[in-house]
Amino acid sequence: MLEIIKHGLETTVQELPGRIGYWEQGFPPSGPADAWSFRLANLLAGNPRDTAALEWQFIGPTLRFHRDGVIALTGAETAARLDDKSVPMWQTIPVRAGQVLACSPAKTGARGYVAISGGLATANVLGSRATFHMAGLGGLGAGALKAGQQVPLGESGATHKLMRVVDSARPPIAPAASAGTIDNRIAAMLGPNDTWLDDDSIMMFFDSEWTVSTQSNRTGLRMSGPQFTFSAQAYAKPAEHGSEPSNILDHGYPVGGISIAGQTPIIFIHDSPSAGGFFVPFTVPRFDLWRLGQARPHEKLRFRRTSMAQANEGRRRLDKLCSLQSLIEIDTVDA
Amino acid sequence: MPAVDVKSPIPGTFYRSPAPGEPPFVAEGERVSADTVIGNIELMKQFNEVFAGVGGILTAFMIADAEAVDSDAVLAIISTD
Amino acid sequence: MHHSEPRFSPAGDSFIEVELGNEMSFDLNVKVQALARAIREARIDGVMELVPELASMLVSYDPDRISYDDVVMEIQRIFGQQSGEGVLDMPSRLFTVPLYYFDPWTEECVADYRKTYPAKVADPELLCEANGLADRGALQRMHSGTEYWVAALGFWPGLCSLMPLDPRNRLSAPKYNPPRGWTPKGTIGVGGGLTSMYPDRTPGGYQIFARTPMPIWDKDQRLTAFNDSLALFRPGDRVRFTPIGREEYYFIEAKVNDGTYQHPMIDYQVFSVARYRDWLSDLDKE
Repeated sequence: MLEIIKHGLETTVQELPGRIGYWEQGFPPSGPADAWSFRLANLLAGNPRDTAALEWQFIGPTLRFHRDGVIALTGAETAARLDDKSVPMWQTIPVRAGQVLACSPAKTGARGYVAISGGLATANVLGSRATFHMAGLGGLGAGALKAGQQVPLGESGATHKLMRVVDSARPPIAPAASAGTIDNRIAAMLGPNDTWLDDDSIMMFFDSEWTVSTQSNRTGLRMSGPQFTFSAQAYAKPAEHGSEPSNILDHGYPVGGISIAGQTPIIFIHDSPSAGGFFVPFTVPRFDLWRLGQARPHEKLRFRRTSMAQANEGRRRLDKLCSLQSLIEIDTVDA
Repeated sequence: MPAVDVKSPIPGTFYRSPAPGEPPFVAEGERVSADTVIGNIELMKQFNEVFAGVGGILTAFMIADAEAVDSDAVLAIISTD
Repeated sequence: MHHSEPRFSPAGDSFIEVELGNEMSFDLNVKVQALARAIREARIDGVMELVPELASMLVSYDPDRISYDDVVMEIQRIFGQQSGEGVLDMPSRLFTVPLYYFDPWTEECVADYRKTYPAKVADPELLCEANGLADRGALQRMHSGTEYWVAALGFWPGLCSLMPLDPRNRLSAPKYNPPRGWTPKGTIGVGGGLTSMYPDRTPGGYQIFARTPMPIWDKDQRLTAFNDSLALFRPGDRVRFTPIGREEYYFIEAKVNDGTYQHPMIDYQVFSVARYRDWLSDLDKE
């Protein structure tokens, strides 16, 4: 059992592949906003990589363990303490019943992960433990977890390897200062509605900086930046699409879709609505969705035009990184 | 009397009043206690209360109303007793 | 306009937008629903989910099990195999939805918005003006005087988009700009040419003027109607609105709260698309 002493800002149980099969009815897939960090946390804790674990946002939780085992912290940078001792991220940490973990607010990034040996064993809703907080689905029946709640755990083995993630296999959630040497641009493919923008606007999108709004959350990442200009197709459409060039007949919204609402880009992430009436000129492919999950308010984002072949290659590369080959053993210990 | 910085733990937008048009939570020069709310930070479409954290006189706000803040930004200075 | 063939656009590396046309019409929507049904029945390995909408559908697939090109090919094949006449009839459930027109809660919600945006014309009056209706009575008769077709779900759990089946009862209205921050649960609104039902207290942009005590989604599945599904409606269902007053509203609300409410629903009808089209063309001739 895992006791929530402080719940941070918004902390939820997430799981992969998320909620599949109900999106048409309005239930989004949910799941971790940074699947890369999420999977590594589980592997460090000796779990299959898609096991249910905690996702916290901006302010980390304080937890008390009621069972010996191991945990791992990944994702947004946090200064965590286990009882009085500071503990590292990206490494297996043994815990004993009675110990308390306190996570500091995120210094960089937006979402952090705490995986625990055996995983979280909350009830499945529509086939998944992933939480859709706005509709109260998941967790202990009300979405995000609250202080005082006790989260059931799954079965765990008796022995745990102590491992850490090699530096080159970690997602580069770098502070803005050191961003100079790393290409932090987010991959974006044209489509489905790129033909609604004129060529100048498409170039402008990839050439510009976009500032993340404080109003961004798991239902959408809002940005501000220069104004778009539209192609003839955005104007020459039947009246029922709507009067603005950015209005389209209600259509499905892909995860990673970059919509333009009026002149505001809104990027759909894991709890976004399944459909709506704004056109979607670009979509972030799966391998770079984690960058959206780690975007902080006021941060300036840039996008890099990406082809299907590059997206496929990126996804396969990331899949290999989210495996045991990214971990180095430090020692073995009996629980 | 030592001065204490009240810092923001999160990025967001800092508001000095509970709602637009309403008077601010606290004025500069006012006495506060540790659990006095001195402002709100809007993040993820939620408003998060900022507490003074210590008792004393709030001598100055370092951030204007509706201004952007990042985590660890100094919001206000309190002169403790 | 209906495209002669589906048009495909990648939406990232694991979604495809399949467009069958670009108009909002019953005929096009029926085609979308029929194609979605056929794709589901084909059980293409690697295709995960479909989100059918008004004139298009979003297909999600696992790109490590099937490629974009192969999904497109499969859907083209399925589309080509469908009967040239299109759908002739389909089973269609009919729901009777009790609706309290011009209820106090939507009035309060609109008044709240107008405190910040006083130039906004109150929603019922705006709808009357936009549709040449003399007064609220005429609006109520117009809105409740037709069956509605559930064209799509989505946006929020349980939310549905309804098209009026009788073209003489069409209502159109602009959306709120900017949108409202909240809408009472159970509110009915009109936006563009669609009626929508708000399943929860969510932001919204449609013109609102009525409220139903009947829940359209329930994560705890307390009422019988939710035994097999958390959301009430499916695309292809029909809805009829029955005007009720305050007393009836509270009566139904009490039954919902004590868990005994039975949603009025008929499940034994078949909707004849062919006869509907004939009826429409007869109307046209009048």
